[in-house]
Amino acid sequence: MIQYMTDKGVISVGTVFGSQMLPSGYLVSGVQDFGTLMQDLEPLFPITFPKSGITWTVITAQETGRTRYRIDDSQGSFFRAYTNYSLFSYPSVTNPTFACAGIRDGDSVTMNKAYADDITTMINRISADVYVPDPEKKSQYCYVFPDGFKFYLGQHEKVTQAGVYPLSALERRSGKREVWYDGLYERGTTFGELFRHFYNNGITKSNALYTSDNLTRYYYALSVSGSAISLYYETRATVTSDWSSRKYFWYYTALANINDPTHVVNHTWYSLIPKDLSTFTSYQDWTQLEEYQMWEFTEYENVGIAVYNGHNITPTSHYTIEFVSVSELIDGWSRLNVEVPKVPDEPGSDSGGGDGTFDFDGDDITLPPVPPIDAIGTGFVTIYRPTREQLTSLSSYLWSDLFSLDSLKKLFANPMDLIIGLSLIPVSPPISGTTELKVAGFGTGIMCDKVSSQFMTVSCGQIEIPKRYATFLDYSPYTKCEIFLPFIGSKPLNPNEIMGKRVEVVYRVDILTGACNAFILANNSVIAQFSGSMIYQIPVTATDYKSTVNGILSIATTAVGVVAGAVSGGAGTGVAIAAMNAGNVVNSVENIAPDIAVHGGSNAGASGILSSQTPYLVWTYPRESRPKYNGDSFKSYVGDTSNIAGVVSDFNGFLVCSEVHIEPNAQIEKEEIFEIEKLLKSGVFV
Amino acid sequence: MTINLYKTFDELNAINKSITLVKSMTGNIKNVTNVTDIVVQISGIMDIINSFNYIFVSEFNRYYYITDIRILSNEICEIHGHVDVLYTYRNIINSTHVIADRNTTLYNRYLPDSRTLRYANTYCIEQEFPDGFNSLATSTHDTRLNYSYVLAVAGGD
Repeated sequence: MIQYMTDKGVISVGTVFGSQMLPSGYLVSGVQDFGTLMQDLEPLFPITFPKSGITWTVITAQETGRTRYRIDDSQGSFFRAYTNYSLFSYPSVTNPTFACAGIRDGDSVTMNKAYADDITTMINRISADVYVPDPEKKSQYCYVFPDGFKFYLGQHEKVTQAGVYPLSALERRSGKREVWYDGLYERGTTFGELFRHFYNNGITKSNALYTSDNLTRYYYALSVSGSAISLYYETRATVTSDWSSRKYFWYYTALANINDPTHVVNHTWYSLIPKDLSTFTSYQDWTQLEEYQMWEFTEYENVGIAVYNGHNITPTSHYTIEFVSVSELIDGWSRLNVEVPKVPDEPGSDSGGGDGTFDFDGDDITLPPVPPIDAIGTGFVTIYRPTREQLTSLSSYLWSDLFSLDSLKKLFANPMDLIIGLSLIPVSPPISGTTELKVAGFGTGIMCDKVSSQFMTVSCGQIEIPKRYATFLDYSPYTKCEIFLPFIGSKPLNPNEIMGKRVEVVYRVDILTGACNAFILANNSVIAQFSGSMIYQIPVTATDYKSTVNGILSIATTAVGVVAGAVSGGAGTGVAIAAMNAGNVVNSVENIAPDIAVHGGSNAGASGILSSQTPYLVWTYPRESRPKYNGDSFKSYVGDTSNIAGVVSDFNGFLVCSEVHIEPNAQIEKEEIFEIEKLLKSGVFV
Repeated sequence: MTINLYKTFDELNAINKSITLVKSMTGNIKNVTNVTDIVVQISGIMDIINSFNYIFVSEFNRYYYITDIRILSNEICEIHGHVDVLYTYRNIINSTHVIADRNTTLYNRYLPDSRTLRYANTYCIEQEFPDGFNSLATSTHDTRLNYSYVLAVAGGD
């Protein structure tokens, strides 16, 4: 291959199929149209093209999205102005199969000279059918480069609507590079291995190999002999195991009808390999080529295969499709007269990974509902929200002669045993109204607020967590965060979970036991919960609170019978059973209450009342030292972390590269390439 | 052999340099061993010897930055140069595919950066939630936050 440096970039001249696909690094830039290009370059080359009097047959221009044509003379030499226009001419093919850009099957274009007016003539000639991309639209495409098996994704003209566009639409639009992906296969991967891998693993375009949204979308016209031109919409990805040695060339396409792009006609894996699985050696290898097309029709379960030979390209051979199952395809490969290379056992390490779903949408964890039943509903416990005066009156009453029920005193040592608990709690429990305060069913004559529910919810409000740097410094482990929760204590939080979000603290409180659970929500989803106790017990007897509760519950069955009998005189078996069930209900309520696992809750109960009553976050942020002098010196002379792929001209300012790939070039000495790579890796100014 | 003498004020590691032609001369190559490091002899440049720091050798189609200038006589200077691969191949380099490790304009600062220095005296910031357990009650019937007595007694109504 001969390469020429011109004021429009590097131009390569070589043989057609034996040459490498030119990487886009050698794209000709600044060319307005094919004819202008020809005129500009003709004096530069020691070849004459196109030769006068030769009939140049357009057999494909299928990549109209890239507007590529190629001129080829009968000697096999070619001129390729990539991203420009080339016209395919295969002298040995008299009845071309693919006629694109509106050229019907068998049509030809005579080009005595390859100047712009010829192209114009051609375009005008086929304008009724031509589909030329709208240059103002963008799409994405995927490309493969010879070394390193890089998948290249970038922007390209997008065709979103069929139509006839002016010749200017053929002008080249520069692409913008976006993402590099490391290839999936090592050098030397054989066609058989790839084939087995793809089909045995059910790889489709939705697999991690490619993301369908990032694939090329070309429009092109397929013409089948005897039928009208049909327009298809192609999504393409390309794989090569070793392009530089021209071993195997794979590409995957999904075809959809252009009039209904959502309707995918089929998915197709193509492979181009030499018959003997050897490497291509020359242009002539094209005629040794067999192309195996594996059609995976979405509307059929079977896989179709179309086989044709480069020696005998006919319109119909492309569509000689035989349907076989996948297993038959693999096992019966020999019937295609091609030996499937055996996949060698790989001793040692296994390959794998990278085929995850990449779906990182999780579920929002909502606040749990309040238990639907509680101790209040059992009839064994009544909770009041008295005032201090009401409590004083109650105490006086219980120790007075007015309260002298002999039957109760047989069960309780003193009247205060009827008090399950008296406590101070930092919330106002919801009440159902003001009623007479009753102890063990006996009225005291004291009117008091009655609590309606054992559980209540308290929100401490929301705060926004701003990204103070909007860099990695905002996140763990550089930034640390703790939250202080009243009645619970300080707890660590993962900054990554709340950074840039709206954080809320919600308490669930058990009025009876004082247990509380604090939920931390980020954007309304629970990310953490901590437990504590917010009750401050007021002693009413020498018996501690817990034993009182347990005592009440343990004697519930007996007491209820007695109390009920004493009150109503209707003690009986049925009541006892009911009491037992009621006791179970109380126990169940204890179980319903949040399972509290205290994590170092050093701020619970009485000490909690004396501590801060408002939750707060404690942040420890790093302080970045960033030199600035007449601007951001760090950014200008060191640069910020990038890990972004592109061509050098995509970047500005100071650039340090982690990976560089320079195509071997006849003009550059090898040591110069090394020096360029070294400089790019040590830092250059673009 | 034509040798163009240039002046540039750009950094050596700049790809797209701004160069100003000072003079176009003819000279002779001395001891050519490779095209990356050359020694050329030029006469008649004594008066502009401080005016250029960069040369282009047409025969090699390469730009060189000057590493040394030796005055051999009143007329002849010996210029040592090393090829400036960045400028010479700027078109190729500009279209070379790379993965940027660091850059001034295209970056992602969410990538941890070992080059970022941090002071030992960190920021310590508190952020308080709007509501607490001792500040919200607006009335005795406010069920949000207000200290209350809770009396639990045996039995129902």
